[in-house]
Amino acid sequence: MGVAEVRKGYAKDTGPAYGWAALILFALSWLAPLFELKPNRIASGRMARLWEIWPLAAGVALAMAALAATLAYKLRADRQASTKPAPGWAGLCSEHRAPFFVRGAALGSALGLFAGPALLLAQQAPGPTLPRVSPGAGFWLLLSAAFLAYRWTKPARETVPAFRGFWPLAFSLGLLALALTGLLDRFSPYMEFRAQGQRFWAELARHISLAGSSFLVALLAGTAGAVALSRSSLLGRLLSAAASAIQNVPSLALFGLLLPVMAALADAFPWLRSIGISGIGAAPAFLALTAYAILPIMLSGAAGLRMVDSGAKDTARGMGMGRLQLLARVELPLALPSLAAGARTALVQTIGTTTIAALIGAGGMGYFVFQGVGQAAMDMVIIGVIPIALLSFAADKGMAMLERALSRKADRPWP
Amino acid sequence: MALIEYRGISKRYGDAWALKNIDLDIERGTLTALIGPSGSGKTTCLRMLNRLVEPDEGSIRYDGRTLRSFKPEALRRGMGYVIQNVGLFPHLTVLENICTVPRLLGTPKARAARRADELLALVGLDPALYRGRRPRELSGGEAQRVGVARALAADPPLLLMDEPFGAVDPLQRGRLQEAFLRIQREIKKTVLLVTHDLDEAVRLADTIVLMRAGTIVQRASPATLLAEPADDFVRDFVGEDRSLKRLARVSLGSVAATAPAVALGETAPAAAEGCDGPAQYWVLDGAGKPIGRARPGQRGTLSPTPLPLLSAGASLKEALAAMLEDGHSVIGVLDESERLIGEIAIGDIISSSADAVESSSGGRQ
Repeated sequence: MGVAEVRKGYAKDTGPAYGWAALILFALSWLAPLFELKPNRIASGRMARLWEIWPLAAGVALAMAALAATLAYKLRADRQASTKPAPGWAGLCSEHRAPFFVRGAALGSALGLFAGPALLLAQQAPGPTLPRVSPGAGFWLLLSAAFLAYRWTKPARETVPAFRGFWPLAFSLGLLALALTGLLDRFSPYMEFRAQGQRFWAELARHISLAGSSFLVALLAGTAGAVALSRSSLLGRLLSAAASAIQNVPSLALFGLLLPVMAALADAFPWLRSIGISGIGAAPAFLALTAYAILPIMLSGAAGLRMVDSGAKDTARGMGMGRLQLLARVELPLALPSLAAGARTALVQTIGTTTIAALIGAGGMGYFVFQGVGQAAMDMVIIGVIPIALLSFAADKGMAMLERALSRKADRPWP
Repeated sequence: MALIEYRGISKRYGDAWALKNIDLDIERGTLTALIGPSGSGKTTCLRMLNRLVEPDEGSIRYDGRTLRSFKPEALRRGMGYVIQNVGLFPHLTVLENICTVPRLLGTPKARAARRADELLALVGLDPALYRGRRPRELSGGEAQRVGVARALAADPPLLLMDEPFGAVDPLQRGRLQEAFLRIQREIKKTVLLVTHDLDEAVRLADTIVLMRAGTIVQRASPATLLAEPADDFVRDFVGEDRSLKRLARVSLGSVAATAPAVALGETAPAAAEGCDGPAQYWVLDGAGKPIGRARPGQRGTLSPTPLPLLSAGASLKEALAAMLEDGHSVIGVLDESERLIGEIAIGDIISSSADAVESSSGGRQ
């Protein structure tokens, strides 16, 4: 058995790089301050380090040991190109078991990290209370280390069916349990989240609806543009030039440019104002976001349409399909995977860019980000940024699945 | 009246003439092959019929009506269309591919599907096995068969075929041609076939139209084209081996002689004194399938080596090739259920070739 098979158990054949990176980050998390205990949101307080929370420190040490053993085993296996289980201690970290140890330890450290504030406060010496525990540099290092360790040992496809989706689910449920049992109560981003209350959910809904509606309109316009472009008509070339030009304008500048335009429009046509269109707010944000999302959809859609087998198109015409029938029954179905790939880029990009829309009063998660930056309240920035990251991640995953399904349907080999 | 009449057709692409003043009649129920070097205008000629290309000058009448009076889509749905790359829709199953035109014409799904199954059987593919496959799961030959089935789906009176067997290997091509000849004998469509393979044209066509640089050089039956080339260009195109090509037109079934045969275990009769008996006997099993050979006076036994056998649809040319290849002087001819129906000897090939020359030169007088 060769090296390739030995590596099969590891994510996308990353080699030991992820493993080393995880180990280094784990090590660094001992040095940097893990938490900061603060009297309130803004004032500075006392730093706490990893070894002050002994259960967490023990968990991290275990994770590092498992990681180091796995790395050692993997190096040995790479050198010897054999999968023979090593005897004794090394055998414990054999190809099949070691990744589970690493992933388990990573999960434990990550959850322990979130329980950290509660553990820290429980052993706090009596004195002036510092009720807010903010994440410090070590917190992020440790979280990244755990994630890298998980990624490194996660197989491209979990061999045990019960474990498919287990780790993310376990982490989410663990976090939920921490929140429900009150163990997260002193963790400052969570405190901020609770303090915001309804506002958080309202802005999240606004973010999703603004990004979603821009994306859907861009999908329609981009598809139409892709058809025009693939026919290399004048209209198509104009569209493509316009979309490229828009892509080159920084998003903030585009919002700014739209301000006077929209304001003038609303002034000229009062009925526009009556349906909520003005220089600031959701309308210009929607327009700008749509304009941004069109280009990736249009370009990859047009590429997909051009790739459609000319023989299939010729016979379709020769068998008596009209232009629209040809488009709907042959060209678009065959171009769908490419179109979906463009849509994936566009959706992820739109979710991110929507953040900036808060600057022109459109709301969304950007509200927390910019308010937080303005008030030097990192907790507020964090509760704005984390949902955006999760949304982008979910959108990317979802679109990738859609893309794969469409590729299968269009019978194109998945790249 | 001919089904299709080209009158004074010209077509120019920029400065180059694709077609120059073409007159051509295509008779109902016949297979006309357009042949010529690349750029001779044969594909343009074909694509004008379903109006994928419009002529610059001249007019085409189809079934007595000028082609321009048809709506292009309606016209195309009434003509089967097969091209070299097959052009099967990769996202649809074999069944959905075949049902394309019937569905465009509004045929109910169930009826179209039944028809598709019949057609799959007709082109020699098991419907149960192939119905649900994707084009990617077909071999080149299978894809071509599906392409032909798809073209026949709406039972069009006219089939347009642009190098339909061009993209498969020679062995497959021979089989496809044989299958197509069998189908054509059954359904008697009017077929316009574009090919650059003279052997294919000679084998399949009733009429061959040889084109060169947008003009028709000769329009004749295959036998006449081979025997009497109109000019040096045709002579060159036909080549030195034209008598060999003529053999491609003759199917074994039409010239096979009765084959002497004995049952397994029986003794082949010895030749009578001074008489020329058969040099060998075929040994048949109970179903009439050949399983061995025996010399006169010998007992019929199972042959340890494969027997030289060809189907009745194969041509004399294939038989000759097989003889030269393996050094056999006699080849058994089989019907569709692989029973022996006759044999062909090398002498038969030579005499039938002589007949063909005689009959075509007889036609000249």
